[in-house]
Amino acid sequence: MATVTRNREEHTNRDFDLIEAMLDELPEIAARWAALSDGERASVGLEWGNDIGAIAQFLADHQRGYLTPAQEVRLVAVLRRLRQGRSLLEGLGLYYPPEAELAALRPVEAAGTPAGSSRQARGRRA
Amino acid sequence: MAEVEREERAVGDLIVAAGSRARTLSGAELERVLRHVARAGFDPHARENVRGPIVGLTRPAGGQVQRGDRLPPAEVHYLRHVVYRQEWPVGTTHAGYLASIREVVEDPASRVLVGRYQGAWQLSVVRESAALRGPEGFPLLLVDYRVTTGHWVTAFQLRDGLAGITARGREDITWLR
Repeated sequence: MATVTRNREEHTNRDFDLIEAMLDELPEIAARWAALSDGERASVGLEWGNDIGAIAQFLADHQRGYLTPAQEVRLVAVLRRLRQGRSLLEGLGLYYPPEAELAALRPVEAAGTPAGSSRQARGRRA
Repeated sequence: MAEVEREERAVGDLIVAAGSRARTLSGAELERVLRHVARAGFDPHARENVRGPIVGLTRPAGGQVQRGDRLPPAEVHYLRHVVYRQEWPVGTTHAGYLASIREVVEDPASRVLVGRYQGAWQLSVVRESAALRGPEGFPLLLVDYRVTTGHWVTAFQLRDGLAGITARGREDITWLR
């Protein structure tokens, strides 16, 4: 039973945890996809379709300088893994964000070493 | 055929007819559909693989979720959305989660749509989360009922509002209410 209220950083970490867990498990899910029941396949897809909405929130948080350096690192890793998993996701009929949405995050990916980039950006704006 | 199965089939036919726009449901028919959906619950005979971060959480009846477990969908979704995600108020029990889903389906203020997902028809009910919104919940709550299984597929709070319904793989959406 839930007993605590989480702060913003922990909330964001939970969102990362969910998406990373799915990306971790994607090959295994794909391998047994045909054996899953219709209900479980729908469940996996619908949950993922909701969870992946966090990407847009990550972008907003990145732009506002709300992500911690560790979260910036996670964001870059998630974006790379998402792109790597695209064919698998689409092959299963699972949602893949529109390129236009992901394009906004290309500078984050391109930076490659994002630790502190969000905070640096915030400093530049200040 | 048992009465429940006959009703499930009849309700499924109504959902498909409405979704394929073969006919418009009357108010009484929609009420019949929703009455059935509210009682359908998660499939008690199905099992889902535990996924991701619910491994290690305490199950409602005690014991920890182990990697590789296959649990009833009602439990998987409770652990995921109530315990882990805190979309529901702190302290919501397993029974409370299920009761809240029924409440949303039966609420005349809820909106109702049908559409296809992964090729199969579903009826979905959407309502403001209101008092069901937990510390990390969202303003709208969604319940999905799948005609092929005759049960709820999932019930969670929509991170992106209605866009989370209409732009994430659902097809042929028709709003019934």
